[in-house]
Order: sequence, then structure tokens, then C-alpha cells
Amino acid sequence: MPTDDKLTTLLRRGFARATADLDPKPDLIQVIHRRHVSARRRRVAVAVAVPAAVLATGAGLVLAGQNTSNHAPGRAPSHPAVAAAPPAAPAPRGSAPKTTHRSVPVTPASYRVDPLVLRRHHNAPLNCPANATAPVGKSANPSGVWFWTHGQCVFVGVEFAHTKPANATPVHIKGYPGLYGTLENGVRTIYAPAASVGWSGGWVALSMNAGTSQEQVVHWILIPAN
Amino acid sequence: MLGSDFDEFVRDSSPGLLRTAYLLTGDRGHAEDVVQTALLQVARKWRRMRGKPTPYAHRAVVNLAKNHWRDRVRRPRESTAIIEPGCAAPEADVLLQQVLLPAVLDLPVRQRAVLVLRYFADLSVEQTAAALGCSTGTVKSQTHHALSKLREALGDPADLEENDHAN
Repeated sequence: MPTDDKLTTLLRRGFARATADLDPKPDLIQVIHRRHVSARRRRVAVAVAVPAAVLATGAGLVLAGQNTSNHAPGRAPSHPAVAAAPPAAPAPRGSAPKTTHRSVPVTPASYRVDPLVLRRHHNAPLNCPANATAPVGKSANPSGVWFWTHGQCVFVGVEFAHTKPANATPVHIKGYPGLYGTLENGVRTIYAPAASVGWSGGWVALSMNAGTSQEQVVHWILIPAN
Repeated sequence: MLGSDFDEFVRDSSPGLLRTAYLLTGDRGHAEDVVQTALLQVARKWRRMRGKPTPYAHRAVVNLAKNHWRDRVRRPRESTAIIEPGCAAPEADVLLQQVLLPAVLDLPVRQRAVLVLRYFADLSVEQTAAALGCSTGTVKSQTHHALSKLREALGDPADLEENDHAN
């Protein structure tokens, strides 16, 4: 058996001979420079495009929240489409803003109707039945739900609206930001930004008698979606 | 931007890196790819590694060659013959290149890397450990295992020694 020394000598010789005629291509330095520059350009493009995309998404979130001009009290949307948040525009290459990250206030402010409210007691009679045995029921026409409270039947219309009325004013209920309401002809309507339509806008409209506790209705029917 | 010192580094180190990569991958094309990618990695960190880019380059070459071998086992086997077709070689060279070097290529990648770095690139045990990202004890044990396997693969040493003397 060859000793380690002999074997390593052979290895050195074999390695040297196997690679004797092996030399890098003459343009290696130019190739490295070219690839380095293009890789650097790609890294810069990504570094600019990603924050720009984050900012664009952040803007979409704000539009769906309460701190937007659409939600400002007393300001009516000039067009139904105004109520919808515009889709985030793709960041144009090279023209993306080179600002640093900025903090975007995002408040959870979209809701969906509690599915249990709509599914429970689906065999219950429509509208408020005088002889109801169930404490809650739903109505198909008009669309809504009813429930008994303090010996009274309360009916709440549940509908979807693309926009809220211009005269809607903010409704302050703890834990439920972004709500607006109107009171007309003894009917109170609460508008909650709808989550079911994503960022395309829209409102869940809850209609009730003016004397109904709006806090109770909101707590009972709406679920914050974010 | 990369300066003339980087160009000088590429000029000086690329032949050795290419040959190391060739011995690790067994394929000239792959070796060139490995060296280019390794030098690009060096270029990216050039400003931060002033003074000692060579160990980093060695490590990059070894890691990229490892990746190459890892990918290779998932694909159909390619020829790894080190002798180029039509290359006339003396008898001793034939033994070296057709017996010893294929036996090196059949070693596990880490053992092969240890042999190439220590006996071709002439790195010390410590430098080899740094290039492979392992301890010096691992380098020594891997060297021992690799040499034992080569000794087994070579079989009867008489031919080898005769050819060695004849050369």
C-alpha cells in the first residue's frame, strides 16, 4: 500500500497535470464587470420597487379605513365610484418615489355581517311575529333580521350600498371605527365599510327604528373583518 | 464601482480558482460558471473584504461546486472524464488520469474538496477548514478517510510505484 506521503505526491502531480492547460477566458474580467453591473441594477430596481409597492398598498388600506376624504363628515362622494378605493397602481420603473418608509395610520374599519345571525333560526317566520317563540329570526323581504329585546321586537334591515349618503355623519361606537349614520323619517341607518368586497368599496347598511339601540344592533350584527 | 485592484485580484486568482473548480466539478464548463459566480460574489462584497478576498473566493467556489454536485445527482449522470478526447498522454499520466483522478471524483464531495484544497491549492488545515466552514478536526478526519478510499481504489500499488519511478 502506498504511504500517505506517496499518495499525496501522486495527487499533487495528478492535479497539476489534469489542470495544466486550463486557463480562464481572456475576457473574464469584462464578463465579471458586466454581470456585476447588471446584477446591481436589478438589486437597485427591487430596492426601489418594493417600498413603492408597500406605499401603494398602504394607500389602499387608508382609503378603506376611516381617515380618508371619502369618510370625512359632510363630504359627499362626487361619483359612486369615488367611494371605492382605486386599485394600487403598479410602480413605474425608474420613476418610483425614492422616499423612505413612512408610517401609514391604518385602523381596522371594515365589517361583515355575522353569518350566524343570518343562518340561525332560518325557519322562523318573516318580520316580527307577534307570537314568535324564537328570540331571533331573519326576513327575506325586506331583507333583514329581527330579534326580541325588553319585550319588544326589533327589526333591522340589512342591505348593501355602493355609497353612503352625503349627509351621513360619523357614528362613534367603541371598537367600531369608520361607521356613519343617518336619521330620516324615524329610520336610523348605520353604514359600515364592507369587507366582503375587498378594496372595491361598499357599505353594509343597517336600518332600524330611531328608538333602537344602535350599539346593540352593531355589536350583534357586525363583525370587524380586520 | 470596482477598481483596478479588483481586476488585479481576478487576474491573479482566477487561474487557481478555475483549476480548483475544475477538480471539484470534473467539468470545464461548470468550472467556468462556478468561478464567474464566485467572483461576482466577491465583487459584491469587495469593499467590505479588502485585504482578504482569497479565502472568501475559495469558500464561494467550494460551496458553488457543492451545489453543482447536489444538482447533478438529481439529473442523469454526465461524463466526468478528466482526460479530453484526443489528448495523447504518457503511460504514467494515463494511470494518474484514468485511475487516480476518477477515484478522486468518486469521493464524497467534502472529501474531494479537502484533497483539492490541501494538495492542489496548497491550503493549510486551518485555511481548508475556513474554506469549508468546518473544524480542523473534520478536515483531518476527512483527509484520512479520503486517502484510505483512494488507497483502496488504486489496488496494487506496484504499478503505480513503477510508473511513478518511470516518470
